[in-house]
Amino acid sequence: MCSTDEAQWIAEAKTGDKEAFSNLVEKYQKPVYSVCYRMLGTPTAAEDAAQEAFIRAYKALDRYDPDRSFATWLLSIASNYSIDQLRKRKVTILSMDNDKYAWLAPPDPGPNPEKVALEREKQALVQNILAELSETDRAAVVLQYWHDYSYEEIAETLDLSMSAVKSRLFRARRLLAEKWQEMQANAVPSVQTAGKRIAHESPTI
Amino acid sequence: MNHQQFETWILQESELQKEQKRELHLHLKGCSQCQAFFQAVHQLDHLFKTAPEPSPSPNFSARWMVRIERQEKRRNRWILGITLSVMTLATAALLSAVGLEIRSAADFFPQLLLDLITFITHGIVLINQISNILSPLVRVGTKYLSPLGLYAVTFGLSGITAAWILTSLRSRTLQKEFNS
Repeated sequence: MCSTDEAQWIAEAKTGDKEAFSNLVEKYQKPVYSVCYRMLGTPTAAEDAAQEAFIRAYKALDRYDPDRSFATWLLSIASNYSIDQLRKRKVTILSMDNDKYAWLAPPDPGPNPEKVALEREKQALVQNILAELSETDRAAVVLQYWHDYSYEEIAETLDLSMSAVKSRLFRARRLLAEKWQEMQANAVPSVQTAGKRIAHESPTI
Repeated sequence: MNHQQFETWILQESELQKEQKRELHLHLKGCSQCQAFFQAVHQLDHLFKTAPEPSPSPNFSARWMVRIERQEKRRNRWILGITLSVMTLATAALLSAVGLEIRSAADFFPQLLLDLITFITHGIVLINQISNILSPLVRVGTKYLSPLGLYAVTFGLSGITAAWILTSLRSRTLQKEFNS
């Protein structure tokens, strides 16, 4: 189920029109990159995986079922490719706190350096904690939290049953919460500071 | 005290019933362990919801275009390489067959010349036919077959072609011997 423009671009891309497909790349670059970034943890790996996911989608366009959402289909390619990448080689999750890789971080969202530093800190925390999960659990969490996927959509994307998705998400949430407690209890000062700030920001009972 | 039930309720994503909510609330007031767990779950939710969405650096689609064009060029070079290898193999088979003909028919030069011309003409027609058959096959093959599969098909086809050429030459030689 696509918009008229999208359906037109898909139809043209199926005939080999790369320009038409580049409109779809333009439209979906952010969610695809976001999935890859959350899965792989570094901007370079995310860029590479996102580019490859779009190439795979372009080549497999004949197999795309127009009754399905194009975004769901595309994100399933991106998440499965990222899962494969994680399985193939152990991707080192690099902390964005590391000065060596600071230049690879997403572009500064605004002129406020304090805000930028805070966002980087949050980004690093998110990636560190996601790294605790298995590839498939991580994909399920990413699709649920950042892409508002329903259980059904996650099941379809990751080729799992609904009950498997529910139990994976439940287990992942428990593991993440335990890890978060552990990190706060004995972790580096930056985690403790960020934890306190988040505790302050987030609602409590 | 059994914390399992409360932990499940804390992690549960669907809305709790009124009674369950009240029970959990009461439990959390008196249990620091479950309260810490509850806060950890909510802090994480908050962290995930407020973490900035990562975006690719500018000109992502332009880089995609460059990448796919580079991949397509590489694939075309690969197809050309395979086609040339098939041609070379076929030519080598033809030349060796011609060499055999020359040795066996050295005494009949005019006849040999005529045969050679006929042979080259047939060869050109054959190469043309092979290329006509192969080009759509290669187009479809590159789309649906893996590189290994494509290699197997190419070598299979060149083997069949070489065998066919050699067999037809051999049968012609035998026929000539039989006629003479």
